[in-house]
Amino acid sequence: MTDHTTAEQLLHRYFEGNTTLDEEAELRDYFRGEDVHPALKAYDPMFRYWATAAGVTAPPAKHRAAVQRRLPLRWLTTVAAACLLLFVVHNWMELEPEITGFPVAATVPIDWSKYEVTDPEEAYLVLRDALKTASTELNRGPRMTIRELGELKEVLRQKPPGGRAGELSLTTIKKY
Amino acid sequence: MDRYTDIITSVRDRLYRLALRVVNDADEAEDVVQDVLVKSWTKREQIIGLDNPPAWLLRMTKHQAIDRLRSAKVRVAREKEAAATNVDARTPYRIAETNDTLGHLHRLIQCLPPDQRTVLQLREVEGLDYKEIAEATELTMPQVKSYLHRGRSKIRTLLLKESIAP
Repeated sequence: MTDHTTAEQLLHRYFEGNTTLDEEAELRDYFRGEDVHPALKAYDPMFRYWATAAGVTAPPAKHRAAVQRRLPLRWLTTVAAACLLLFVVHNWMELEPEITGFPVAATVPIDWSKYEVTDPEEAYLVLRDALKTASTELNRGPRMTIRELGELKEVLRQKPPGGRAGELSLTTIKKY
Repeated sequence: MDRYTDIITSVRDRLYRLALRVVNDADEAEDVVQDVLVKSWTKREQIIGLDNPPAWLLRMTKHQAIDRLRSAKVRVAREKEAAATNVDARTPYRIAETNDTLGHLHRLIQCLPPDQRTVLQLREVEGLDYKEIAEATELTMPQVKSYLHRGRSKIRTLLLKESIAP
């Protein structure tokens, strides 16, 4: 049985935070008893309060499904807004012209080596065709000039009505 | 499985009392314990293998209760109104309200920061030693001692101020 003096000393150490669990149990026993000294009686409510708090028990477990949970509305609203934004952005991007449709072949370097003529016979034929084409094109101009000069000569030889041979009329000149 | 059930059965009341101390609401405390038990079920194999499963569960309860306390701040006004008219009969707080001294003590303790409240609860109600409290609260031993000393000193000051104590 703890006496008044011991209880007082224990209380002092208790408030300093220097008591052991056993000493605190001793103090609780003292204040639970009938013969608490009047000088210490005032601390009784504190020990009664802790004793009451220690008597609390958990209510029977309720079934999880029966628990009405609050919907996290703010979180759901944020997610819905994000989904809507993604949907709009996705649709907008689909309306944009397809960038990959732009002709990009020109950016690829051409390998000319595969077109190079390596056979002498083929080279001769290609060269012959090229020279023939050049010759034909070069002769075309003089041929046209000669033909037109011939036509002009013929015109000059003709005698205009009321005039001398070789005299050009205004009408004839305008024709050319 | 049996081991896990034994652990939960032995610690459930303690978890509820701690949750109640932090959130100060019987329904919220029940929800906190339920959440902790659901989470602990998914990790039951690990919990069984721990050196001190109750400490882990108490720590989980403390975190869960503080999270709930923070998220409940938006409902403070409504809760205050409800608390004024509907104090849960299962808590000692109804008794406290019928007695001035206990009521003052209760209000004083509930005004302390959650960590300090938790330390007082684990020491005065659950009877844990400093090491166990430190493990359950993730505080250091000096912090535990300091919080306990400060909490008890405040209680003593209140008693002296009201001329309850000499």
